[in-house]
Amino acid sequence: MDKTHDTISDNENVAVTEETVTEEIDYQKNPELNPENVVYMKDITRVFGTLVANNNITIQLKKGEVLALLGENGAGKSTLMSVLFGLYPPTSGEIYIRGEKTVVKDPNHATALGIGMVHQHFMLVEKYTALQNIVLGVEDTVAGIFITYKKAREKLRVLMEKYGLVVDLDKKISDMSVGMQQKVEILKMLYRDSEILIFDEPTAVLTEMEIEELMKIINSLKAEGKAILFISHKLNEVRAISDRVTVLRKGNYIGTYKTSEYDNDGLAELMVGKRVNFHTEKSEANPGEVVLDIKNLCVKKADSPKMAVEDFSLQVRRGEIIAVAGIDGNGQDELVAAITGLTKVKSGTITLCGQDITSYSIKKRNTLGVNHVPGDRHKYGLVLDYNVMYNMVLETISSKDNSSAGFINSKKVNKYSDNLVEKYDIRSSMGSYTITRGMSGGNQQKVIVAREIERHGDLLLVVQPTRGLDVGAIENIHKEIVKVRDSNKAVLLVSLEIDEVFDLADTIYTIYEGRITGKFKPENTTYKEIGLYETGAACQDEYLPSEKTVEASDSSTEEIVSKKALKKQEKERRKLKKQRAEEEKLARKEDEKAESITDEPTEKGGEDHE
Amino acid sequence: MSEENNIEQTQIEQTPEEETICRKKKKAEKKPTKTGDPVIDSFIDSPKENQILTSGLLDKPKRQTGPLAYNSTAQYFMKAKFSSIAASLICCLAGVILGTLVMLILNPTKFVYGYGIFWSTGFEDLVQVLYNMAPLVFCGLSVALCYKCGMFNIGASAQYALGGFSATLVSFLLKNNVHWSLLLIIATFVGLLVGALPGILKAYFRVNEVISAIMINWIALYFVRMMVKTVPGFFDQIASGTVKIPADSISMLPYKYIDASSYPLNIAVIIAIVVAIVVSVVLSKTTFGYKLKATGFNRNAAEYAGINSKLNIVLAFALSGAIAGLGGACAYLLPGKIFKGDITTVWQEGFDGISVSFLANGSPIGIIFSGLFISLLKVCGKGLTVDTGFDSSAADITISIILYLSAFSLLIYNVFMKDKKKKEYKLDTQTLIDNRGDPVPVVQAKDEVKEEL
Repeated sequence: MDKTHDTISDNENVAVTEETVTEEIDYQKNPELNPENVVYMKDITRVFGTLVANNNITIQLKKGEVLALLGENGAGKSTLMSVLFGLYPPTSGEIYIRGEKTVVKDPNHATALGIGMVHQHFMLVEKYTALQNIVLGVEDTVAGIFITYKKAREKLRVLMEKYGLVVDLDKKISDMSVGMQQKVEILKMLYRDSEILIFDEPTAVLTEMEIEELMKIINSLKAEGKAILFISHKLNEVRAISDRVTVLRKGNYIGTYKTSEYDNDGLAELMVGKRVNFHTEKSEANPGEVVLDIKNLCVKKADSPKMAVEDFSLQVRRGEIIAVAGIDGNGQDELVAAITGLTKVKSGTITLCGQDITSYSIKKRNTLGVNHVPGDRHKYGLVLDYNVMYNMVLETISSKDNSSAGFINSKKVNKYSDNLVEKYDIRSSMGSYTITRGMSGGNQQKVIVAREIERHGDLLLVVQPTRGLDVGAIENIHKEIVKVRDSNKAVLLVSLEIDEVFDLADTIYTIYEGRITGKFKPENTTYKEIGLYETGAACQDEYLPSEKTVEASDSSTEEIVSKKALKKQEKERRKLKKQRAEEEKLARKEDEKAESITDEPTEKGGEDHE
Repeated sequence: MSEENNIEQTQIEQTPEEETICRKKKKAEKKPTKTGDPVIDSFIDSPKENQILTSGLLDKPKRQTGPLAYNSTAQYFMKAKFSSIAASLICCLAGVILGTLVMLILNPTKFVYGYGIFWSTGFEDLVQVLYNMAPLVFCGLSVALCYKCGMFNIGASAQYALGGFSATLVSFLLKNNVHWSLLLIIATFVGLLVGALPGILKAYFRVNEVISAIMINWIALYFVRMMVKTVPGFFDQIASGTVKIPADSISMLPYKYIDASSYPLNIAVIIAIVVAIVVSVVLSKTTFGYKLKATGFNRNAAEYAGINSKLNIVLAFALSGAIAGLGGACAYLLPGKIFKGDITTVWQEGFDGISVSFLANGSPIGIIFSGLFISLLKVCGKGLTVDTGFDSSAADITISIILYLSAFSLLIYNVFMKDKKKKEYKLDTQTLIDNRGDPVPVVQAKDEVKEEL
């Protein structure tokens, strides 16, 4: 296609004239050759052994457009993007970047082609600063040995202003919030002049506020002309941010649709293949006797003399679901640890069916009927290197059903496990013998939920039961929790997802800095109101900290703390105040930036990328 | 609750005819408007059954019970065991070949002669091989047991030596009139105490077990040196070590000399094998072994499940020490064995135990065989003297190469376990339809016909 030749030999004269006659490529027949299609993946198939992860999938993407990849867990979305990013070659199929057929050899090659990916689990070095992480692999050097950051800082300053992604470049990753870490990841991509940005389940680790910020950032990137691929199974976000959505199901390509033409129900049905019930049907609660009675619970924080949970009183009765809703880090983890027995309480009592269990060991509480689905399934819920069978009896291995005279009764354990696998639809490659490490997150969670529910204890304590799960699995687990309630047991739900809280709870308690701030019935309140009480901006009268308790807690902390520690505390308080002020400043700046961007759309196009 | 389950199951097992009847019987529900897209429309038209998402791939309500390439999980496990043994054997073979090459390079002219002496020494004196095998198996078991609990028992030397020393000392103090079985029990107990120490430090004070164990090794060394010289009558000036236990006393383990060897046959090996079997059974079949391994794999999850992780850590170390102590007694209650008063290096058997354990990949039964093999190599090495043209370190080189290669055993294991039917695939997406109506793409090998799925 090159029309200008500096040196033309006689032989090439003919060639030149041939070349200058440009053939009209029919972009309707061969859309892949259309250079406007920044990415065109044609009939991509990827097979792992006998598992077909992607089956003849075709997607295309243009500049300035957001394409969402929607599908359940295990549908093949991440695999498809890994193929695009060069992590695996496709078993068959072709990739066309800007109209040219390319073979993406490895992620470095992908970066050179202008593809950047933000993974769900960040690829950042914790001990390094943001700046060091961003330039990692493409550092400017003096004499090939010494690294200079001057150019990088300048480029990043421009980028940060342009996109409103303000990050403290000299802060260590381990000191940053998750939202800020994700911004560093995005800056990494932009620093390498990526035109095609892939986001793999970016909102899985973010809070509500951070998700909103991310949406704004993606919009501004879109306005710049970047092509964005957004992988998610969360319908609200997909609808909020994407122009078109490609639906995958079990590796199959279902179709590509305009997001504006579908609502949540429609998208869910495409994703799952069946109508999905977003609202768990549950009958009226009929609470019976008190099962769990927490009175004036005070739990100390792990690394400071402050109280994580303060003067916490709660009752959970049979046949009802009580939800504790709050923003992460307001004492829910310590509350759960105190109820289950992992940490000691400073003061207060926990009573289970009339029995005071405050000082009991974890094992004793388990036998008395506390069933616990932990928030971190890998850390606390499963022994990943054991198979499903052995994980099913983790707490009950010594009971008469599963062992006799110290010897495990393999047949019984196997049968029990098989029953549960069947009942709870746990999918795995080898049934009860599958090593849980190899199972998907949703199925791992099902193992834990099955294990705990089937122990038929009086109290079911569930923490974040559907974290990282897709719509189908969420529906399943919510149904099981309601079943437990209906079988006259008490359920205490601790969750960060407001949707879940509203869906399941009979009564909602909001928690802020270790104290209850409000008690609500879901039918009488709104998301906004709950959000307000969660941030501590409001507090119901009966839960206001009384003067007595405030004095008491202060004096108790003074008893423990010496003068040095007091000075340290004051320093920390000042630091926190400064941090909060800074963050507020940054937030204000970003709001202004966002407003300015939406007000004046500029065509900066390929300015920085040449 | 169970009744509900039964109802659900019967609904899943409906035949197609029954399904249509059920469908007609159900109330007419509001159908959403058609979008014109054939895929979505077909789903809108699909029967509105109960909302429970059903499992698995086909009409059969039974879930898949095995990976596609295997008929049953049992077959998979057979293959897994086979592959791991094969991997270890290949490593040993490769190591021996490389050791041979090393010897060839070191002294090409005398290679054939020296190599012949090397192997003949070992195979001629099998009694010595068995004699040296017992301590290796005991120490290997000690290291392996601790490793299953996620920790490294590098203090096996101290536990081994102090076990043996306590047996020898008690025997001496009681004028060699104690029965050997009692001495074994004492030695086991001493080993248990010595082993528990790093465990307690680790569990309750988070002290790194390797550091504390190494220090205990050296404390044991100097303790033995001191005790050898200070206990009145214990020290034999000529031998520069402890007095020998009389060859006919009941303190001695039962032994028998045969003509073939200068080393006696004794029951230490038998005890070692029995202990290996016991450890294997305990780890795989008892609740105690289950809890131990759970603590090793994931201490947090084990704690949350009510398992006392601190106790289990201490017990793992204590039992490892007990086994090593027993091994020490089984080694030192034999004719001619004494404790030297001038040792400067920590007893080697504890560290050889690490080699034995890793060669067998931590499997107690495997340790019996790896102990045998390494003992064989060591005995072979003794035959290499100056006039054969080699040094006994040629055997050590071979052993070291084998151990280095055992790191590759996982690689070889994966090669065996890899699904070989990879090359030719015919993607047939229409054969299987799951009970949601989705086509499920299943890969078929060219020659294979899937009978059931």
